[in-house]
Amino acid sequence: MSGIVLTDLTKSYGAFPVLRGISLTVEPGELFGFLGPNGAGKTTTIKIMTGLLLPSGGRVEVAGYDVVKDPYEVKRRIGFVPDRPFLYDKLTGSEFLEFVGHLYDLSPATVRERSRDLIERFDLGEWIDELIEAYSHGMRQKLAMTSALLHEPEIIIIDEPTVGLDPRSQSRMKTLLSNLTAKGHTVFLSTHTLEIAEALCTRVAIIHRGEIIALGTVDELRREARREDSSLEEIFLGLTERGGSIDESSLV
Amino acid sequence: MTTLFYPRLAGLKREQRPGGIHRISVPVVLGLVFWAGLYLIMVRVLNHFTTVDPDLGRILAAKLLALLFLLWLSFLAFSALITAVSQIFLARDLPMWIAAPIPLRRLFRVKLVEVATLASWTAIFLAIPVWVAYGVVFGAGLGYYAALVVAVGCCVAITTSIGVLVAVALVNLFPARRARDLLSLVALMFIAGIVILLRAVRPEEFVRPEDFGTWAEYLVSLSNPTLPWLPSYWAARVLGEVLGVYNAVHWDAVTMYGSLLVVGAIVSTIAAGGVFREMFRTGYSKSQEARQVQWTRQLWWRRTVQFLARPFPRRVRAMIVKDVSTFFRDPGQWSQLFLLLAVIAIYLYNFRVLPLDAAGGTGYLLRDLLAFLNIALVGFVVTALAARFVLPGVSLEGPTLWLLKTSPVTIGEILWAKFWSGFLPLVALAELLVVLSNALLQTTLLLSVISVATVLFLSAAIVGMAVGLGASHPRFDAPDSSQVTAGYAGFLFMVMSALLVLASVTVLAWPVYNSFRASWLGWGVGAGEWGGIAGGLVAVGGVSAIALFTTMQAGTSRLSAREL
Repeated sequence: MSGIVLTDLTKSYGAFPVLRGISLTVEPGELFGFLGPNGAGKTTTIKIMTGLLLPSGGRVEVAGYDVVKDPYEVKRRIGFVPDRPFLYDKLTGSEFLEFVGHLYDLSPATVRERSRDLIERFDLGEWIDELIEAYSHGMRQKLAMTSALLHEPEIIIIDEPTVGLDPRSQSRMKTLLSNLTAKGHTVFLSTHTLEIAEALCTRVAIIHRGEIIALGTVDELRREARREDSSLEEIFLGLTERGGSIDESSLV
Repeated sequence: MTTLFYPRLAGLKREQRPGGIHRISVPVVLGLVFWAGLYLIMVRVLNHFTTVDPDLGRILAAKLLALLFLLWLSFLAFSALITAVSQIFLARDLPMWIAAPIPLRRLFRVKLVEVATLASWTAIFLAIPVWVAYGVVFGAGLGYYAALVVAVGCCVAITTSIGVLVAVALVNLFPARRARDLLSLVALMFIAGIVILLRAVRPEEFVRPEDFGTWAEYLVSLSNPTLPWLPSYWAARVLGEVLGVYNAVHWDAVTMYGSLLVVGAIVSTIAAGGVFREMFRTGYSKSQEARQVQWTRQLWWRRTVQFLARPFPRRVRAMIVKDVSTFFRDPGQWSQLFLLLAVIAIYLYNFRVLPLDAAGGTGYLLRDLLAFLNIALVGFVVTALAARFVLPGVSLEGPTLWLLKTSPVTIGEILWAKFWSGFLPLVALAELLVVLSNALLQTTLLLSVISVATVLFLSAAIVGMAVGLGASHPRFDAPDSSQVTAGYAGFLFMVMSALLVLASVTVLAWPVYNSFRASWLGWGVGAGEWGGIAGGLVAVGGVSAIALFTTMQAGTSRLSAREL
């Protein structure tokens, strides 16, 4: 199994640079947190990793394949949950799962079997035969997560995993993410919820104005920021307010 | 009160900022061209009425004014009803209004003005040249225009109030989403009904006085009021009297119908206000509980669709099943099938009533000519349907395209799934039209075969162009499919499709003519004629295949390169 390797990744919208040469490696089986203030470039990075955007420069390798040269192989191996999952309102939850399963060439029996467990885990059973247009944001998020896991991807990329989820679902989500990494899956999650990153992630990267300004475990970040007793939130605020960075070479 | 209008007014003001004028210049020019065209046509028609026979002309002008007002009021009423449901129960700003300490009386006034403005501005815009033409032809003074403003204002007030009243009552009976869905269906059936009515009534017979026993009977028939209990007649009568259409101005009629309009406007507004205050809160609460009951969620339906899509690979099949299910669960889409049924009925009916016998011994010439031209007609029908149902497919996929683009499905697979979802029903319909109209025309087997083959090629090419151009120029921001059809891709598609149909018919014209001539002259269709027809069909098939594959390929490339 391979993880994710970003090498000198750049992206510009016209003359405006959004990513200014990002490099990082996510090891297989790692739960990696990607943090940053609004507009820092988190979603752009994720969109490039999932093939929704093309990079302006640099190289992105996911699960051992180049996203530009072998997008099909990458897509077979990843599961993606966006921050605002627009789903097909006129399908029911179970029809949607069946549809996604078939996109990944799963047999109807496999879809049914795998859905059953995930539906139960996310408390979707009561609503699964209702049209998605009747779902709340949190339920859509849970359904999108369920569909992303159906084909048992090597790498799961999640943009804001807990937005709109109730406390019980948030707790289940955390357990699920931990279990996934325990089973060898790689999880790349972008989040504003620093408490989740601090509690779950093996390593985090902080992106600010298109550049990685910190990368390492939370303890490493504390040491390098010389704030041994600080929370991740305090480190994050300190770094992003002054726009400074930690010497990445010492962390990696 | 002004505060409640502020958000909308501020939005309008921003539209006027630099760049805004440039953006609206094209619609303004088109609007002015439309006005000028309609005005000139109306002036010509009214002048024709009055110059041929002044007495009859005046009666015809009055009759036409009443009919136009009836049509105008009907559109206004439906527009008001649909706008009322969406503005009063589904508008995004409603939760803010309801949470704020705004009395229901004031909320009613705001919503009434909003609904009146949104529902009537297009109808008024369209009718202005007609009203001005009447004023100019009949030499109207300021009194006519003053009466026009009052009459139109009263009609708008009446239709808006009734729209609000019915909307509030409907939403109390059905949840709002279903009510709007129901209304879109009713509106479309209403349009289909008008078309069918026009064909059933055959208005052209009204201009054939010889069908009536005496001239007096004809005049009496024309002078009879058209639905006199409707505000449209009250408005038309007041304006007709003020214009002097009835020879002299009957002030008693002006007073009576004018009073009816004003009282009708006041009474309907008061009634709507009362109903709004009593029923709005419960209606709004109910509209939040909206649930859909769908027959397309039944097992038999799903099994049928899955069975029909069985010949396709799993991923394409999944997308076809998804497209068909979502289509039939969106009443805004499937309800248009009623309109389609009306079009088909009229189409075939026209072939049935064609006066072929009147052509005497040359009837068969006309029959063959019509059967041949029918190929082009069916091509245009397929074009219109593909523009409405197939072309917007990729654009409507917009917000959910992230799912397809991050899954192991190629853009080609997505587009071909859309092609098959559109092609199969459209080619079935097109072939049905061709076969039935050829049967009604009792045309030759040879022409039937040519028609069936050509329509097959054209349908594939037209649907392929609709998918390909829709993917090359998607409009992911379009709120509904009609915006896509009316956009650049729609325009390009219509032009290309029309050219393809005309080119195909032109290519086939000469060999088909040669074979007919041989047949009419009793020579029999020989090898030369057969060769010509086969060559023509191969040419049409080849051009269709090029149109299909190049546009699909272009759509695939452009959509693949597009960033989300």
